[in-house]
Amino acid sequence: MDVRSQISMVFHLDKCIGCHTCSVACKNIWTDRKGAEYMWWNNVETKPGTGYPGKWEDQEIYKGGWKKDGDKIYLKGAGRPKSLTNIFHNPHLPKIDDYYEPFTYKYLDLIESPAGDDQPTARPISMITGEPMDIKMGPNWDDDLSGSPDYARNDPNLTKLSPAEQEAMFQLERMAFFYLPRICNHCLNPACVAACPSQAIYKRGEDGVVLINQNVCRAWRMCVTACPYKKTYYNWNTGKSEKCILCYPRIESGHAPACMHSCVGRIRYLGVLLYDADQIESVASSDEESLVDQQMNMILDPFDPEVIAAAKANGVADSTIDAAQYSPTYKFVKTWGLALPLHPEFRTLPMLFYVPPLLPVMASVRDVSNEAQQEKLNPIAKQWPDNWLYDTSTEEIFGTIDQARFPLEYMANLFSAGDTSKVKERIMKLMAVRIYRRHKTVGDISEEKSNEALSTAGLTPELADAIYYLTSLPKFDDRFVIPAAHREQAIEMMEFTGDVKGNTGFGFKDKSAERGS
Amino acid sequence: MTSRRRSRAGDLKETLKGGDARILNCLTPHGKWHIHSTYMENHRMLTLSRGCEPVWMSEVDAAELEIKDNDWVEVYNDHGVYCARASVSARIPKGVCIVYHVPERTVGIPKSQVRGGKRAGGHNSFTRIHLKPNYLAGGYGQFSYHFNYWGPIAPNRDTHVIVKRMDKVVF
Repeated sequence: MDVRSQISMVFHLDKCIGCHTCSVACKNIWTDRKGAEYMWWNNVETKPGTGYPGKWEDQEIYKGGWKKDGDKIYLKGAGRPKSLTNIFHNPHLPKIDDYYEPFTYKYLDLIESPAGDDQPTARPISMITGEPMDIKMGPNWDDDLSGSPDYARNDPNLTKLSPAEQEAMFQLERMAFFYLPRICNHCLNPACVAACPSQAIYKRGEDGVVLINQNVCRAWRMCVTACPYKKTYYNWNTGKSEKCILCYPRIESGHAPACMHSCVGRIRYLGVLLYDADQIESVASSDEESLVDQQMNMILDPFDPEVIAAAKANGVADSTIDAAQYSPTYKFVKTWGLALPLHPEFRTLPMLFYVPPLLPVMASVRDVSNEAQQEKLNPIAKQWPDNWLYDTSTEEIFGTIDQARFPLEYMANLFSAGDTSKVKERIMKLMAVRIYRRHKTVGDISEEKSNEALSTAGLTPELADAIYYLTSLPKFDDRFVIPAAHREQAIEMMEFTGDVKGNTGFGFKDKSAERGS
Repeated sequence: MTSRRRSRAGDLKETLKGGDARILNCLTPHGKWHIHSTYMENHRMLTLSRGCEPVWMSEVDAAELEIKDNDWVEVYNDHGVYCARASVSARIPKGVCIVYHVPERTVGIPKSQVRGGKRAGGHNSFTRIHLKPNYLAGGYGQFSYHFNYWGPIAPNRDTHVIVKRMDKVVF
């Protein structure tokens, strides 16, 4: 057992209001520079949608992440042989138009235009060339289903749904959408690190933050191709690649990263997870059906004396172990089993987990006649001519999940490599907590029914109270449990990255690079 | 005459629907960026929007008018004209268009082709300017003219407008 610590994140999607305050905070601090105009280390997407860069999830286009071949995994579009063949032209690299051409406005024209009979206007110009341009794409282009025929309907996660199911998702007053905020996942098996021919990218030993050494980067851009989440970006001005640094200068001084600190919906949680680095290779190359379970299994119990002893032996600081025991992310991911990684099938073992949204699934689309519904509903309630009403008055506790307005298959394509039972399990827990709280506060649900809901979902009243507290009432220090920095132990600071050539930062390809050897 | 027709007549007495155009009801949704302390015409918020304040319309209306997503459109009635890009969405009901926020007339608004090549106004140029008496309170210069057109705040929309694709885009 090789116990290491990782700063991990949980985003609670039911709480995201899509305000982009996180994106603005990040942009203002880190990427408001020449060459970085188009980068949004943090961005928020509308789902269903194609996102930023367009269709980033479609690895047929971008060839990001790992693929399993036999017992082993290989980089899909990067790695030594492919880097060599694509040395002059990498066809899978996203182009500026896949992101967007950054624009500003020619404000000086407002002041310097010659006198005329009409008011001047500042027309859009490119921030790269300075020439007038037509704005055709942006970092939040398909916001709130804008341009749905061109964007939402082309969401790569819809491909496994039947045409009828897809169409139902875009019918007025029956549709639903949610927001998906994204930052670098600071993966345990980062494809960007493995793909870098210059060994410029590394995963910090003390907290697992993945960083690009700006002095070593040689602009191969293999990380851009390799990252399946498209969260490394090439700066055309400095000629180096850049990515989210999880605001490490803030973390080291005990502050939450700017995106998390500023989050209006308070959806973001940050804390330490202890995990077994010996398992990375086997977990990352396990079968698709067991990927999520295996990833959960490699996260260790921070209260287990054996784990604590192994962590100490490995140089994990006492304060970090303490933080792991209070970690809100450990609760969401392991204790309560509420959160899932985004696209686990990319096999990078992301350390950013999402609590899937419950909100759109609360109504059933069972076939019911309008007349029957009329009895139960307010007479002014909306009806459709095809006798297909939402039945929101079901007596069954979990009766609405399978007929969800947002098909479970879609959620499963996002969060569990297509396994609907994993998403359903989590949504049932979220619903059970609501039923329990309704019993407590409104009182129109009996205790038996509330207990039945909790036990079916695998919860107890104590757990439900804890989930309710950390979801709805947490204080700043509950959401962010940041261990003290121990710079004296940051051995990577003195390590030459060339020594760990060709591995993912852990040395499962090259055993010579183990910590402390 | 129904009240619906009267209200259309109130906004569209003089303006005729010519060519490929449709009369839509322009409504005001709850603002998208109101949570932010900066205005939406700030560079950041414009980037997170579509570089302008688009007019949202339904897929059905857009298909009938042969308007594609991100095409330039003109939105006009007796009161004025607003030129913007169309955001074609499954979220908008047929017969309705919406504009979320207050665009600045000085930022990226082209000249109107239906109004003789004059600079188009902001979203408020097609609303009726009926002052609420409490707008008159204050005396802190809220009526003084500057860059932007003074009109009622966005929630006072609910007018009938003609929407058509812009023939050519001139800045």
